[in-house]
Amino acid sequence: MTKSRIKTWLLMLPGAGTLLSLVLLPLSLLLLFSLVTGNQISLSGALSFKNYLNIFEQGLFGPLMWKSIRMGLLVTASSILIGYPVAYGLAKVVKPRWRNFLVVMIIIPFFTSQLLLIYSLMVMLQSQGPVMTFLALFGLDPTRSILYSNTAVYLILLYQFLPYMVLSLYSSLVKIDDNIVFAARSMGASRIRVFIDIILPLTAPALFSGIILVFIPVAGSFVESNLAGGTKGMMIGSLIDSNFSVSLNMGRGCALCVLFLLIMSVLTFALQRAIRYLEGRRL
Amino acid sequence: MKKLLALFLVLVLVFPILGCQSGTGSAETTEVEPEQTEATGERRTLTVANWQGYGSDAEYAVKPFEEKYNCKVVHQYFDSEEALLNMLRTGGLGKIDVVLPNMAYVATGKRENLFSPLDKTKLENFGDLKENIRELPDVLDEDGNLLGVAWTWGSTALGYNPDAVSEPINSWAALWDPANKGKVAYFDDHLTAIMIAALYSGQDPENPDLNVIKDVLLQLKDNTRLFWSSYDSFAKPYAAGEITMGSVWSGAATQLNAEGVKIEYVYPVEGAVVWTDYWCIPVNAPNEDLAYAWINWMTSVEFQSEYASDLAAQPPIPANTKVYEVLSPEVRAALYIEDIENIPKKVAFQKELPPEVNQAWLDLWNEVKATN
Amino acid sequence: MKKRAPWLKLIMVLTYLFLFAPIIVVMVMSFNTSQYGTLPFVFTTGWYQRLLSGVGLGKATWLSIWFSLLVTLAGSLVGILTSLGLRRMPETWARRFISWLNLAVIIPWLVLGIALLMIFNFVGLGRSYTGMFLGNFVCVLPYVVMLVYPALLALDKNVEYAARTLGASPRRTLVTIVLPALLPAILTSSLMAFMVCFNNFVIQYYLAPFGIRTLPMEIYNLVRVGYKPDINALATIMILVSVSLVLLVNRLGYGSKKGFF
Repeated sequence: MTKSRIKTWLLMLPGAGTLLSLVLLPLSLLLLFSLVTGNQISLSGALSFKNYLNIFEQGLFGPLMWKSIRMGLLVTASSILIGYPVAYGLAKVVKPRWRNFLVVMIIIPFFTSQLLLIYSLMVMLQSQGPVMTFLALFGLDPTRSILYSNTAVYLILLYQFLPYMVLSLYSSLVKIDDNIVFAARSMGASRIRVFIDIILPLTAPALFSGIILVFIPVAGSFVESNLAGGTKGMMIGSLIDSNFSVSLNMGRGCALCVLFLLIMSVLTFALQRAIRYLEGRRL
Repeated sequence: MKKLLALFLVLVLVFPILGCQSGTGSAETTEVEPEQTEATGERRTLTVANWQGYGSDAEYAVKPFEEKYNCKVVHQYFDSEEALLNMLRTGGLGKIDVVLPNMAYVATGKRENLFSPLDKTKLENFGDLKENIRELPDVLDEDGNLLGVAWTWGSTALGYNPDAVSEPINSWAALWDPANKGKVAYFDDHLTAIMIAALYSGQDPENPDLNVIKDVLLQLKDNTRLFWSSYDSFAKPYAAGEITMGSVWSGAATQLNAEGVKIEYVYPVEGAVVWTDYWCIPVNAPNEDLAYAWINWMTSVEFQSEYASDLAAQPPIPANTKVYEVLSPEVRAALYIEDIENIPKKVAFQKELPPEVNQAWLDLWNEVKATN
Repeated sequence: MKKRAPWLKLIMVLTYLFLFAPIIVVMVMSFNTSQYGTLPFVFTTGWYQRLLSGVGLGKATWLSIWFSLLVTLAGSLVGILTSLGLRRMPETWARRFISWLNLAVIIPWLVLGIALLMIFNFVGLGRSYTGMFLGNFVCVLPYVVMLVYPALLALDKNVEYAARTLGASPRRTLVTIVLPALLPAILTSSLMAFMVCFNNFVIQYYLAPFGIRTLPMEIYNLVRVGYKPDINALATIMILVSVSLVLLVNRLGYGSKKGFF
């Protein structure tokens, strides 16, 4: 079976072209500008690491980054815990007739606008709103809601990113041959065993994709924490955003971004290793 | 095959319906357009850059102008002053005809040569504009040419719920008062935040000692429930009772009251922050003559009185002094300008800061926000 | 032996409730007079009237829909092509390529948007539909590749070999064997791609032509200024339309035994 090189190149052309011009090029610009000081979108000539020094002097990057990673881990873990049962249910338990419908229903909320959903969640959680009025029956003060706190941000982020995890896991779970599971069960494996030894390895790549699609955007988010995080909710995304949108300090903003990217890449790499290990446990 | 056909039919039917939704609104203009294009050739388009909902995109602003000058008015919105400047820096020059920056940002634009000098003889209402804001140094270039036309001004001061406090408030100290812990909202803008903190602690709002300010702000943060950055993010929690006071724009208070949500607005004794907005014509504007016509229309008594009376639209205070005489007493009270010559007594103008200072202030504010 | 697993069904029901609770709130509040979402509930259809008489929201919605469809189509196509190409190379190279491509998701879109705008300005494209298309396209592509490529790897090659030995051309094999097997992944990733593009406020904010607003941009501006529940009315209409569409498709028999997905 010969693999024609030309064919490979042709297939890869649009993808590679996109990668080069729309990903690597902006990335290089990013790196370049992070080495430039000054406010304008022009090169002031001197390249230096001054921006990075400033950032470390300020000392905000570390704590904020850590906070964002923590939130990312929390949301991702929750989405995995919820995502697996839901995706499995969709793939194996739900009657085939309703499967399509329910899968599409997951993203129906997102046919409206993300911002609108955030606002709706806030309306739900705000004082004298539905949730607090309900909780007031249990004696909680209805004029002080759980909004403007990390809990609120967590809930909103979980809401926004759960579907990605569910869909990702679903696309892989649905392809698992039922017979394999039956065989394992008939040979005496407990449900947990089935999960660890069969489902997890087979869905590992999709799990990896799901984690990437949830963890990274959550860590970099700022809209949700700005709106609902109260005074203690600031995350690294807000810092990056304010340097770009408010003070137009391109150098500083880009440097923050590069640092953010570095850390995310390291984490992703570590994650990839972990997933490979899981995959290796295949039957 | 039959199923495929049925599906196709469904799609074909549904999409036009969705398309109709967009059609109903623009039906008026599409009916008028073909006639005009035949008669006069091309219908020009005036591109206006402004905040959304800030008067210039209201129907009573756009329609009369479009009819009088036989053109189409298109709005480009921005959500921050920096975004405005950025828009001009990255390809807006040559596409945008007229823009509304804050005074502080007119000065920045002046340094970057983004705005064209204006010909005062073409400005009909210039003489009627409020004297102390129409020719401030920030809006004049080195040769003394005018770069911006004063349109509106307003203040950022203290708004509070009179039912939630035992006696009327008149000082910024209320925000720092532990009795109000957890009920305070603060405007999330580094300039205003620091200026108010400076006023409260008795320092010069244009040049405060940042170390002192940082402690002051951290104290405030303990008391604060949330930072608001847009009208809605203040109005919602206020209406729901989560917050009972905060630093807020005059227009926000006007709108809240107009919608039946009671809020008292006072100019604290330590002083309030005042801002002014100016219409400027960017360099290389494609329709300069229309831009001048637009500015004249926007500063006219006819338009400004209508805008100011539209209380639910959160109007700021018009710069055209002739308008004050036209407004009814209720409107004047609602806009907090009954005693126009006397209040606010102590004001701090929101002016331009040199970039390093701006960055230092922003850094400080971010530090305050990030500290746990 | 079909699983009963009531606890599984419970989790699913709770999750769907969680996902749809805000939607219910939106739909209910679209009939409520209070502008700030506070109870007590006072019925009104005023917001719907306001919505249908306004211009902005309808136009923006329409734009967002067909634009996202376009981007999704292009993204799915290129994503499939790229995945097929990736399969033909050693796995380590492929994974590296995907890691680089993932940068489009890892870079905060705020920064990507600004960087792309600078590039587009430089090449003379500036803020334009093409630019906005490319910007959204690059955000969407990783989603497709990340779902389709693993699915491709999981395919049993023997089936393809069998087809080839029976005389099918590479193209025939592709169309009749590989693609159908990939269908769940392709469709799921398309759904995700549509979701991402439809909601991609940041990129559209920076790259949209002057004066043009997509739905997220329009809503963003509106909520900042004075969120009127006519947005709720719009959302309610859109939900009802899309749910009806899906139900209809289901009724037409596409939800048959094996399902689309």
